[in-house]
Amino acid sequence: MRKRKKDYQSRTAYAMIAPAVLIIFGMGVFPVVYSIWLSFNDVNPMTFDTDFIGLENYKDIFVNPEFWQSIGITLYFCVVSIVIQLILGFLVAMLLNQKFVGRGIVRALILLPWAVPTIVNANLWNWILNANYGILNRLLMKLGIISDSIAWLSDGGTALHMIILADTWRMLPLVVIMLLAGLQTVSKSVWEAAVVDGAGAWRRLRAVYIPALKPMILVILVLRTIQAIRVFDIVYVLTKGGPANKTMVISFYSYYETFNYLNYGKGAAIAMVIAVLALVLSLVYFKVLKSGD
Amino acid sequence: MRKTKLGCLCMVSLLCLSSACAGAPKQAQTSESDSKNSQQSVSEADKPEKITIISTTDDVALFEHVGEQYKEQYGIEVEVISQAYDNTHQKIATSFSGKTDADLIYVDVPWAAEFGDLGITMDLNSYMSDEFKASFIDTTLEQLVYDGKTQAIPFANNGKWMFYNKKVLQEGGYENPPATWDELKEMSLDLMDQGLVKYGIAWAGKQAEGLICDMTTMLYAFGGQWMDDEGNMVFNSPEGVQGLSVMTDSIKDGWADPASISYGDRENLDPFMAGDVAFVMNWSFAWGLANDPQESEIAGDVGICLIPGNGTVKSAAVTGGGGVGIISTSDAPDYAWKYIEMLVSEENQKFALENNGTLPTLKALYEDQELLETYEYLGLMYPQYEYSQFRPQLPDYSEWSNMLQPKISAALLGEISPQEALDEAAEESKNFTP
Amino acid sequence: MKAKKKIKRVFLYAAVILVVVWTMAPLLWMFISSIIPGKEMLNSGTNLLPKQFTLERYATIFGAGGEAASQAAVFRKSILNSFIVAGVSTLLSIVLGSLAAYAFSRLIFTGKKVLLFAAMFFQLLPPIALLVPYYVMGSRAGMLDKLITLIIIDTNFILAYVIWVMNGYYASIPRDLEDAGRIDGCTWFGVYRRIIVPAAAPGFVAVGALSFLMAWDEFLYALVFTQSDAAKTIPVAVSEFSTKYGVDYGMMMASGVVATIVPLCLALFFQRYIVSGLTSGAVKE
Repeated sequence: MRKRKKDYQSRTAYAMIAPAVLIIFGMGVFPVVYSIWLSFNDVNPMTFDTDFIGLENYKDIFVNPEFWQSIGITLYFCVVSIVIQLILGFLVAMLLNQKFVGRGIVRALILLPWAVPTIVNANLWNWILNANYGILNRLLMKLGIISDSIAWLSDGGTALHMIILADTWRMLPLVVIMLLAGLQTVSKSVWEAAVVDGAGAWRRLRAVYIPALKPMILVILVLRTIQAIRVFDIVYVLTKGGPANKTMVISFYSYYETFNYLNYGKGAAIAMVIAVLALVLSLVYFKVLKSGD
Repeated sequence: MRKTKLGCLCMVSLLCLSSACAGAPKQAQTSESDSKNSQQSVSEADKPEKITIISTTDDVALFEHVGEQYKEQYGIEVEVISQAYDNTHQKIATSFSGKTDADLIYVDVPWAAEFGDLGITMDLNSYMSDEFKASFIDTTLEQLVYDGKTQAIPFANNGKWMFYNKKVLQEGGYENPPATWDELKEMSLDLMDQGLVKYGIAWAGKQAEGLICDMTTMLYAFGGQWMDDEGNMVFNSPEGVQGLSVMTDSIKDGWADPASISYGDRENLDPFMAGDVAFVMNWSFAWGLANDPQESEIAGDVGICLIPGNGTVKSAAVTGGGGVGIISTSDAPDYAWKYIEMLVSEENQKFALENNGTLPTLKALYEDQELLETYEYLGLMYPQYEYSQFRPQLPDYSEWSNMLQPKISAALLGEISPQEALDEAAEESKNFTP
Repeated sequence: MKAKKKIKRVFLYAAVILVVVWTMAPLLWMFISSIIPGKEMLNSGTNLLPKQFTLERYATIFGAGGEAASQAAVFRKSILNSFIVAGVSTLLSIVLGSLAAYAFSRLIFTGKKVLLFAAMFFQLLPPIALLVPYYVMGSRAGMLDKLITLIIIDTNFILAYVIWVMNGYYASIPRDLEDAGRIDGCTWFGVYRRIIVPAAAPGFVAVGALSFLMAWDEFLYALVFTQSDAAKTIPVAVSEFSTKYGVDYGMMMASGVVATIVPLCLALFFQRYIVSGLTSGAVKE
């Protein structure tokens, strides 16, 4: 009787998950396996005939300094943008956690940049940062901060940081809102106790806020890392990887190699390397998440 | 799971089979029509419902205009698919590998070799009569030929010209535009000193195709060349280094707009039209745009001159323009050809000139007095053709260009010297054969 | 003491104003740029606001012709395409995903953990990693330039997200309700339909709004898979406002404003739900 009940439950469960699981696996497992196969082949771009060449594609990638450079740039982008967004996000969240007139409205407004589609955001910043007619230069010149316009996207280092700026403007709301939700779990009594103890701001931060926010911070780390590795749209619009390949992030590199040269085998190989990289990072985070609990 | 995978495999192999079947008779068909004289009329039975053309957004208006005439005459719909120029090469290549049902494609000059090599475009030689061939300005057709096969028919003649701000030069006390790059530099510095402009020139220095165009101009202006007669890449010669050095020094010394490094060959027009720079090298459409009072601050003050040389070389300019080719998988190549014929007719080239500022490719139109009077710039632009230079005709042109762009970009940034940039590029160019 | 408090308030409000300016200024500039007349766009002077305004670009976008008329036509069609792609994939993901999430959250069956983990696993892959096999499969099957292809792809990545969030959401619904239903003789499906769906409605709104936003925003796949106005979505159409007149910043801003209206309204109206949708995955941990 018990067993039959359990069988029934299993059958129901399988029926319930079947459509979703079929889609996810059909669009997940099969393509990944197929992609692994393609990565060992030279693929004719017209007929899609494959010619097995073993590890040739991987060898090509690994000896190419451009590939390593793009990995480096991607990691730099991830680390810097996430650190900046976490710090700024924490400050803004603390601010919005205070009591002030119009807090509700400000909390609603803060979400808006996140609603701007990525590609529109990229266009917008491309225009704001335009060297001669962009509002940023004109504003800075009017305020007397600079005397000549700065070509923000013409310098390798600045260009990458401008991409980080554009990304930060759009993604900061996400971080703020999640941290704000975390802050609301800090009970007033704990905080008041700390104040009564005479704990300074720094100690209050370390003793009260960091522990309370830790789970949320870890989730933000995972989420933002997954998103940051994918960065494509902004680079596509702002710099197309230039100048001198200084903003060639891995997604754009892979896109370029694959679709400009129609080298699907090599493209699949690069894709596999990115996949492994993303998974390793995620696994590390999950480990940290688990041990943190 | 196994079932779905098997299903997919079956589907895939079925698709392969069906496409193989479809391919065979068609090949027979084309070779047959090759042997016949294809000028003769085409049977009504093959008549398609519509033909599709992949274009850049720049030419949509022209292609649709011709499409209306075409529909009237043949009763066939013409669909124009377009995307930004920067996406067009990739879109054509991928849509071909994705078994597109498009018939005609836009072929930019540097793509002819690649498309021919990949078999994307079909050979149009058999369609052309000698008379038809002879009606074009030689270089326009020549640059679309790869391996003896004509990949596309030119409908737009183009190249880069030197545009200058007449008013600024006059106010600065100059009667004539510069004839050498040294003069241009002197003039720029002087005009900047006088406070007439912010900078002398704006380059198309963005890591993109426009950069290779400017590099081509500078290379030949100083007596260099991309390839010698044996097809060896020799652009890292002292002449080439000198040409590139003019670009890099202009940014370092402050007489070129430093934002040049982020300009494509459209954006560098912005500072020119705002009156902030005195000189700009750009394509023919710049004339109409810079003279449009709606868009430009300097309408009416735009001058055209020969691109300067180094004293020994009088001038040099990169060629451009584009053609339309027939995609080799087209179901109706004969009808597609009829569209091309219509597109390059005198009447439609006049329309393109009038509406897009597209320069004609037919010799006859440059001898048409009436036309020359209406469009004075045709006469002004004509002399530059004599100094036209091609970009290298390589089957892997895009890949080569993408290899070269970041190196020149790095030289403009001042990260490596012009010599290093060109040496490295020449070394890597050895992997590319014409 | 009072003075100190006052200074504190001043700093607080200054900081708030700074945050608001940082948030709103780029948005406002996008709108202002969209109504600056063509010539004044190229203004490098220090008077920041233009002298004149024009609504011409919006007229072009909504079909009144003009220089960018042909791209505007593609853009108009792309709005419809985006609604179809985002709408259908959201609906599909919610219906299929919430049902699956219910099974994962409440029922006992073999392979549950593995399947749930696997579903998450593919969510972690960057889209670029799946682009190549998708493209090769899609072009072999003749599926390029079709809305249905984008719907399938978008549904796939939204589905995993829906399962993840709803799985957490169900955990917050007390079991007593269902137990009562079970005793009344309902099947699992019956319980799901009659008890869970109504109880989880706010959760559906939250993931629904977020899913819609994700699909509305998707660019990479749309860029590669679409070719004509039959399938181009808004992000692709917005990225193509460059003409023979160069990069058309004005039209890019105007089309950007139009493309932002829908997600902006969603974000404002469903703010409470969206915030909970964003954080509920986290709270579960």
